[in-house]
Amino acid sequence: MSDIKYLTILSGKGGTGKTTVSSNLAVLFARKRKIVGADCDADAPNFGLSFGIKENDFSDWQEVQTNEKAVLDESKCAGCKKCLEVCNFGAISWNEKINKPEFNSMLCEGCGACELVCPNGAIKLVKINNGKIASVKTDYGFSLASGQLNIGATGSGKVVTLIKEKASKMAQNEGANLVLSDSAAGVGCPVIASIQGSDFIVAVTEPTPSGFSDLERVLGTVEHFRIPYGVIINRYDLNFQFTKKIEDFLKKNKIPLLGKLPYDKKFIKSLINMKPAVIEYPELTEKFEKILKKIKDNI
Amino acid sequence: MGKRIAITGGKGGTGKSTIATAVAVELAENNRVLLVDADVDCPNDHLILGIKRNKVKDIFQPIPKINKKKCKKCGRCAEVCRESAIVQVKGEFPVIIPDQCIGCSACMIACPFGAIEKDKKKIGIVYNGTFKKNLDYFSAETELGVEEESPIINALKKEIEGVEKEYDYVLFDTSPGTHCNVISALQGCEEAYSVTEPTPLGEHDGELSLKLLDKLKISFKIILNKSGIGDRKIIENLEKKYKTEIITDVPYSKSIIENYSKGIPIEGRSIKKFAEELTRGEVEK
Amino acid sequence: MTKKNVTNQEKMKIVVSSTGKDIEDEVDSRFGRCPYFLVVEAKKGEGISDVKVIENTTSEQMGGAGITAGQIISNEKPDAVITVNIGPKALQVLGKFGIEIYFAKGNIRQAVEDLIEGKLEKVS
Repeated sequence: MSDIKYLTILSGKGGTGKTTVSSNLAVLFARKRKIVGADCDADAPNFGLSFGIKENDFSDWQEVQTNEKAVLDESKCAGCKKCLEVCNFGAISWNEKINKPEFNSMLCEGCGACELVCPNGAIKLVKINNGKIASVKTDYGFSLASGQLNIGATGSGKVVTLIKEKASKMAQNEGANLVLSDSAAGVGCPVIASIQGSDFIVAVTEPTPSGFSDLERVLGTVEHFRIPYGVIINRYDLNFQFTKKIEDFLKKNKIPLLGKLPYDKKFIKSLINMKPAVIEYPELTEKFEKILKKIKDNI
Repeated sequence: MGKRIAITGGKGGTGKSTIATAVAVELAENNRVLLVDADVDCPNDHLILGIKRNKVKDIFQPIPKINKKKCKKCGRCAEVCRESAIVQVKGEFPVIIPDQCIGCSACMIACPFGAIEKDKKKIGIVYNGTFKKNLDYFSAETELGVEEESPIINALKKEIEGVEKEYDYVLFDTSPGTHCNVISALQGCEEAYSVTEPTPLGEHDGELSLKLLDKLKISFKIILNKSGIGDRKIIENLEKKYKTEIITDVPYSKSIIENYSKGIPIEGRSIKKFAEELTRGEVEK
Repeated sequence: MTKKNVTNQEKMKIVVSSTGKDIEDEVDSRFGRCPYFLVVEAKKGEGISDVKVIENTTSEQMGGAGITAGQIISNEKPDAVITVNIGPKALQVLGKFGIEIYFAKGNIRQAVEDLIEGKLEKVS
């Protein structure tokens, strides 16, 4: 089990090409070794789509319950308002007409403070279905673990953790030695959940002020978790000046530059056709092979 | 006065911030506009518009502190903490792991000896600024490593409550996706514009955004960005399914991206059309 | 980083993240997800006197493993921990219990002997 390596692709800023990089690296890795893919964006999972896999193609959807919500038993409630006073998340409001609390499950963090403070035991924390996870075999020689957070539900980070655990089990069962995760945008809890447990992080950026600012934030987050990382500059030829600025930053901070990808409409066309670019346009393979080699040197 | 409008979307990189900033600039020609960058993970609006951010305040979250004089090492606090933020080893004082703490105070309620006091940890910063006459700006940014982001959005909203009456429009630029961050930013908005692109990924994630807006009972319409790169029909299907409409198509061009990379906000007919839509009156679902 | 300060200690209790159950196994790089912890008693000049194996029940966890592992180890009340790398949460747990942390790779016996001979640097 300790032999499985966990490689995670991040970006900070959305739309920089995370999923493009993840899907193409996955296909190329899978040609040489046994791998498992993990879609660690439980909010808006796209990794499967890049391989032409839609929600209906997963056959083993399984509901998950990572979070709890406070539920009121009105018959026991004496209307003392202690729960209203204690909730730090604004999830409890007061219904003056019936003199009872109302719970907003979208804001409820399931912390249990209200359950503890209620003198009559009128509040209970109850596990709720907040998402689902599944797996599927792609057409490219590897399996993929994925998930979907229920609309309006909390716990996206925890669902991502379950997806990673599922991918890990699949890797053990299938004798795979690499789990490649495509993560969500940003630096919040779903991204933190993707970072945890990784052996190496690949951060994808673009030569724009937003791309660079978000790169710094995401690398700062990865640094916090003390995990080694490298950077890919996507669409580097859109702004050579800015690309140089990023390269200088990487050099100065001794951060490995894993590769640069050009702006190419072929990448957009591939995503629209829901096929990895190295399959639709084999001439692009070399670019990704170079990146793959650099990653291998660093793991 | 102070009409709150959200610009949101499911997929990252579809152009929320690009469009939010562009329409803010356009609207500000004739209206008082407050642009709120609620993408607290990775705020970008100030970079697109070249706004100098001024720090308004630090945002804090309560965390517990053990009073060793009163603590009897009973372990009750560690038992009730659902976030694994309190670790107790037999015979030792419990230790607090600030990274894990979400500030719920359950431990303080449960402690039989009143041995837990309130300390605090910094979780973010609120900023403000000005772009030009009629266009002001507020934003917030999380401290790196913070997992619980709703308190940061709530702190940002609180700052705005004091001033929003002075504006005709308050535009909320949200994070991409549908998780708690986005929900907190959307709540309180009167209408929303979900930005998507005519690709399978844009359709998939766009639909999730619309489902969320539906659930939150916020009236919404669609903005189609990067129009021309794929099949418009797949987004027209969303129009029909969710009984809404695409109010403007923003074209895709390499020059727009190049300008974006230089920090130049976009403008043009499609943005003017969006601004007209906003000023027309109540959006009917 | 400061040089270790346990040179004059009596018996030291050291926990090491391990790839296996044996003192000759390698230090495991995954602190929270290693399959075993070895609890070793040793003294400068005298070497290793006792080895106990603990199975790491959090080895399958992808999130929060650091804290749970931190708890398991802290329950043993060791003086020091040897591992290859450690995440911020586990670091916080161990640090707050006053447990010293050292980084070392390779053979566990060697790593422990290096520690008690003062050859390893303490992680701050």
